[in-house]
Amino acid sequence: MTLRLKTLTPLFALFTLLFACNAFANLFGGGDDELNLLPAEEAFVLNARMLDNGTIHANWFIADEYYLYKHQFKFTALTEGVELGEPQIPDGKAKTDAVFGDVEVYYHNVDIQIPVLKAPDGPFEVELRNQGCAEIGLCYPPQKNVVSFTLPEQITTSTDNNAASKPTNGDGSSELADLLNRSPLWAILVFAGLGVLLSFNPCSYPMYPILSRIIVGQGTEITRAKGVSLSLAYVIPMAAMYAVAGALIALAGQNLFAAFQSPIWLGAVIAILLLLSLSMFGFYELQLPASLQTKLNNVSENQKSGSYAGAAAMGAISALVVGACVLPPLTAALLFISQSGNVVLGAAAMFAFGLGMGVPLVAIGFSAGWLLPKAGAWMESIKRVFGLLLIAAAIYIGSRLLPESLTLALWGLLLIGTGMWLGALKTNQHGKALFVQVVGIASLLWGATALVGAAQGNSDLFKPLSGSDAATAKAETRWLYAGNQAELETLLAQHPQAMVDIYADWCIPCKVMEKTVFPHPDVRAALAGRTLIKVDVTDDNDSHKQLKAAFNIINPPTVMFFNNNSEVPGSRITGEINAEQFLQHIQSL
Amino acid sequence: MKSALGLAFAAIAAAIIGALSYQALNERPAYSETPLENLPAFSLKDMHGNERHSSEWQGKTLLLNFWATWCPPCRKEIPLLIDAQEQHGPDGLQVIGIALEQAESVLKYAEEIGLTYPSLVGNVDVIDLGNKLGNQIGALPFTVLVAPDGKILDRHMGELNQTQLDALLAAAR
Repeated sequence: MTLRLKTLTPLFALFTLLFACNAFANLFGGGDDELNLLPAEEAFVLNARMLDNGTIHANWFIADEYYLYKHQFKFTALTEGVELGEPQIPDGKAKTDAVFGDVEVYYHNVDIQIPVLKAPDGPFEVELRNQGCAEIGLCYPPQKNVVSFTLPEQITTSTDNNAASKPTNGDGSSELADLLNRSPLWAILVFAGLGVLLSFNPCSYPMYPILSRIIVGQGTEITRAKGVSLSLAYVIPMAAMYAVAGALIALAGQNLFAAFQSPIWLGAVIAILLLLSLSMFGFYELQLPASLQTKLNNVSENQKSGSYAGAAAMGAISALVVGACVLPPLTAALLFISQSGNVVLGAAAMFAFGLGMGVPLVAIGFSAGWLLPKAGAWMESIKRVFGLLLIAAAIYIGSRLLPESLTLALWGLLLIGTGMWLGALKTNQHGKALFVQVVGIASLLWGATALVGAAQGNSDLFKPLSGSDAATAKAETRWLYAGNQAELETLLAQHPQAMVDIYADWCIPCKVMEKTVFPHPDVRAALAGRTLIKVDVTDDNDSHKQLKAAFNIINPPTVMFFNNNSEVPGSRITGEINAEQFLQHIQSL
Repeated sequence: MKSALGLAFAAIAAAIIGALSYQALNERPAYSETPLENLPAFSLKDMHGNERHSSEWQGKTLLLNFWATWCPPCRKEIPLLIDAQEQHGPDGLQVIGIALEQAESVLKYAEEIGLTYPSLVGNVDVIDLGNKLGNQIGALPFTVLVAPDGKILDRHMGELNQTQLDALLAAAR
């Protein structure tokens, strides 16, 4: 019955951690008189493209604390014979300006549609002028962006003026967006479904023994009702934590979302995972200070409510830890919340997500422990397994921050440790133990091979010694690299036929495509004549974010095709696809 | 108890590392790395169309104010600059406006508000001069204080309030 108390310590540690993060971020970032100002082209990032219906779509991504004036937008055709229609500019936010009086301004984002009434064949140039200021009291000179467009071919034959470009999806993220946009109820159902799917994410596994200890710890006479109520006591606070996250994401938008991917947050999560794993290996017992224990004991007079409190606390903590793992696959769905800005919807959808994640846990509770082994000596082994899984989760998250080879080396060390624990180095094993030992030796050898691979600078755990694959692929497929929006736009302007691959080191599908799709001989042949441009968004820094916003990119992998500096309608690929699908896709363009 | 302390320590260490790396990724200076130490000689047209050369004001403490009429914070600080010219002009201060704009709109505005100090105008040359003086991002207003011997004493990006202006001018004495 010490469980409920033990479980509380990580919660306190976590709060300390969050406060510390905040305090330090303020210490280093805030209170500084020196201005950190963005250049105009980073404060106001323009992405303009031609839609299928012959309308220019101009989107400005506006950095926080910066704004654009509505009355300063100006759109001028520079090529003779081009006639632009009345631009559709949305209502801005009213701002009383000491100088201009009441004006309308835009924060964060503005979308403007400019119909092209008349244009000759071939490319033509339009100047898109904007002007804005920063809240701290300074302004930028008007930016005159000259962009080249070409009317889509079908505009002369097509009568459908609403044909918007539809991206091709490998992972169905636009189908997902369609589903989410249908109605709030749909959105909530979709989130619940995602929750059930993601409950089988490796990071969720540590939740199972924790819950099992809560239930099994109740002794042998545990009833079904008690099992369900205990697991609900665990699942509901967990879902509530997700609901809070959902509300915050809706409130703060992409900034908070990005914060979840920040080194601070990831570092904190890694620290918690490692600390929890140490306790699994028996380095220490998670305990509250004695004084607090007594107090809590007095508050919870009977042990029944106490174990519920323990379950609840553990559920809330698990949401924070597991959340770090499920956020990346949830990107598209979370972006939907942040764009909706609807706090209630955000909270409800994420609550549903948390409940979905809890379904297997409630099932365990319903089985009243039947699905789980009774407490015994081999629970210790289970603890070790979960300790190893916790370390694996920490390495997985850390792989986004660490160099690839170092990550491979860490995997190697983990495999070696696992192998030794499985008895790889023991002698005189018989029977069952012998089988375990063989697995252990395999793990040990594979781990050692991974270390050798890491020393050679390789990164693939499944092919630790064949770094040549990726190397030859890179050598044979020539890529140009763009690090920010300006560089990408310059490259696109220089190369009339281009393919852009949005890539990140931590993006497994990107790596799979890099190794299996782009080097494929048929794909290479099909791509001949196209300039291949790679944008590495591994760091996800400000210029990457602006680039992604400017091109409406949610996440890597995203592959885009450009002809004459405008994206080929319907050509975008998001998510992983294989070489065959890729070939079909480019042949259909 | 020991383990609780250990937890807290590890947490704080992780937070420091995280915060530092976050900062390192996000740092961005507003001024160019190596702005000039001395005011370069320059020549620009004023709002009446006359060519003016920087040598004209040699031996004076100069307060160069980059501005434009379309820039609300610039317009807000101009009355303070007019006051400063009036107050410290006898002690050798010369405020010079440098507008990133066409002469006619500057002239119209100058008459409207009764601008008492000269304002130069220009386009690319103005951006270029601001850049040399350390205004890497080309934003307005941007104010530079120059000692009589041409040494750049201080620069300020963004709107000045009275306190900031006083502090800036105090550096000249």
